[in-house]
Amino acid sequence: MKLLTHNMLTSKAIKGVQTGFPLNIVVKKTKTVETEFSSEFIQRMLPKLDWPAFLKAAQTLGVGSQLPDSPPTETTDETVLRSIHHALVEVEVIEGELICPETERKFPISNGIPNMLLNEDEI
Amino acid sequence: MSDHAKRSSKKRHKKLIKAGKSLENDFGVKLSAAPTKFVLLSNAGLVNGGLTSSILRALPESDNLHYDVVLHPDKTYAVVRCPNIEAASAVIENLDGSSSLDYLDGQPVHAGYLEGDIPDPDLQSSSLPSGLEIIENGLSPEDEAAWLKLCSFDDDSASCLLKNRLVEHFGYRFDYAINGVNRDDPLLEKPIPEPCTKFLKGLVHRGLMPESCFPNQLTVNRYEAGAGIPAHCDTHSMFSSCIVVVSLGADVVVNYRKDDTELSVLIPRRSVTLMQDESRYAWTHSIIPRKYDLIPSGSGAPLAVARGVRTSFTFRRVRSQEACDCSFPSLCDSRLKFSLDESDAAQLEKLHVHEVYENIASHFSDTRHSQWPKVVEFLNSLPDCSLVVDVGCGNGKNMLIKNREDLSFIGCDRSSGLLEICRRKNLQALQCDCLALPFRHAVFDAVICIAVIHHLSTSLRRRQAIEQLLSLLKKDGKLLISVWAFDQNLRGGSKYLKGGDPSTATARHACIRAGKAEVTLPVHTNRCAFSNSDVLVPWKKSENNDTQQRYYHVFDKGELRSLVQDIEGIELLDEYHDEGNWCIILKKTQQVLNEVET
Repeated sequence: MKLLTHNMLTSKAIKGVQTGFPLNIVVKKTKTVETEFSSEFIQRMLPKLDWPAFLKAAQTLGVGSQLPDSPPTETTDETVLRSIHHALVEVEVIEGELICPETERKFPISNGIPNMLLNEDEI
Repeated sequence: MSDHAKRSSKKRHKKLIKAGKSLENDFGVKLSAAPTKFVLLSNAGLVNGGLTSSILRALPESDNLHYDVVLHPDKTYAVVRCPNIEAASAVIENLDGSSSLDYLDGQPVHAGYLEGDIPDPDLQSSSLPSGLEIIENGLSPEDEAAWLKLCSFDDDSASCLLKNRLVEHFGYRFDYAINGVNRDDPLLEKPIPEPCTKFLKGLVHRGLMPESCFPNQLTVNRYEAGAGIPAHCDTHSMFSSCIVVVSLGADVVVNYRKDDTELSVLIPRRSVTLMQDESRYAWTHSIIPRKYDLIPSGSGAPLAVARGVRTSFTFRRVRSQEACDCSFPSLCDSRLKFSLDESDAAQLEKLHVHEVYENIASHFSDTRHSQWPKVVEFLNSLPDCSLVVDVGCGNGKNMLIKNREDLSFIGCDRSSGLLEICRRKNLQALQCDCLALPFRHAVFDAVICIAVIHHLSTSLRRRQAIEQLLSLLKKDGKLLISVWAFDQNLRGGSKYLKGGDPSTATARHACIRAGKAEVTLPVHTNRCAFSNSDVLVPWKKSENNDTQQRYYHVFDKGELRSLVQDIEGIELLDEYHDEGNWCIILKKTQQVLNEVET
């Protein structure tokens, strides 16, 4: 699970949960896969990102130190964009958990695959 | 006010006042003290047996005056439109309190002025059900006379007295208990009469009827004047796709109905009616029992005419096998009626969708390599760097689009086996249910959902799934949905069909558990046409003979669109049949739809 994916996930499908976002992360194992940097891609993704959620998740994974407190503007230099790129799409949580911020419901991550299935009585 | 008007208003009979109230209630027009051109006749309506001709006969003699008689169904009054006030005055003078209307058996009629006109009754519809063709003067008067002599209605074994009609059967005896025939028991001594066969050959020759539908069964009905027949649709599984009716002796109005649409169709004497396609399969037809029909007059109000004795020759082709493959499920007895409550539906999907995919994941993936060109075309049309969710991503084959490395995909599926395969391709994948999607709303540029919705076993669940898919899209985001089509044969056919005999498709059924319920569904035969909207499709692993039954709801034409038709804030961009699948592309035109209840 990349942080781009994490930034799109909620637990609001659970009955009674209001926003279910952002999901807290428990990290047991991560993996880094280098991918081609494109500043256009990062620029295009920025408006979709919930920045505070991204920042918090990146800090949990230990890759947030180079990130600014607020989403960068268009004039931001490439060093910042590269650190965003690294945190957003190069680091993956392989083993761990996602935790609903409202109910503490745990969603296991195994082999990089979050299991977001709910039981019938939770929906 | 003239003396005459004063006199007539004073003398208003209580029956006239009652009729006036009734008409005012119907059309908002009141009785008038002052003379007008419009005259109300109480006690003289269609309910009382009134007809245009009998009322005209009772009106004062005049050379050049044209009266228009307005008769509405189920009413006890009639209205006469007079050419001028003098004529109206003469009508009242002549008819008020008189017993001159012959059909009233000496009872008096009462007449008075109306403030204004009333509308004509609704007449036959100008449009016909799709597939219905009426050939006027399809039979000559000489042939009519000859055909009417073909039936004696005196054979007790094949003829019986139904309510107000006589019937006689040729070719096969029609059994009213099963609304069909016994295929094993043809009336060998009583084939379709030769003049009829000759006529039918003419229809084939003129290209009006396909040879494959050449009738082998004839039912002749003789309706007493005013007799009717309840709404019905000829049994799909019993008779083939073209039904021919020759109407003799008298005109009649036949009512065609589909859902809330009712069309009254005038079937003239000596006409030939061909019912094919939708008119044969999706519409019921009936004749209302009543003594009159309203028919067009050319000018002025429709004419109310007495019904005469009508004889109809209905020609049908008995199917050799009991399996209808029409695309009109609502009245099709070959389609099983299938409905489950929500919890049973979830259980059925758990056992016959989710668990099956889990069990067959690796083998399934091996057979799913090729990308569908139309899916690739959709993804290629997306703006640079779009963020896309693939709901029901399977082995991830649609998330690797050549030369579109800029697209970011998140795939999700129920099957962990298939998701493992995605991970081996370094794809983003997570496990979830399409009815409980764990994504933020209004953020994605596109969503695709290929071959997923057809695994949901109620219409409500299919609709809820689509609502959830739409909720993920941002404004101007696009959704592509593809589902398996009932009709595998559109536009040049499907690669899926391999000329299998559709009749074998209904040969096997399986009883499966769905929660509390136990349901029996047809087992689909690979590469054959579907026999039912809800089917089980076997998955056979080659290495052993363990067969897994997957549940499918195969979609009819327009069904996908009808699921979304009342959702606001979306636009239908495209709808097409693609290799045996129905597909729609929807665009979201506002950021947030009404929140989905789950």
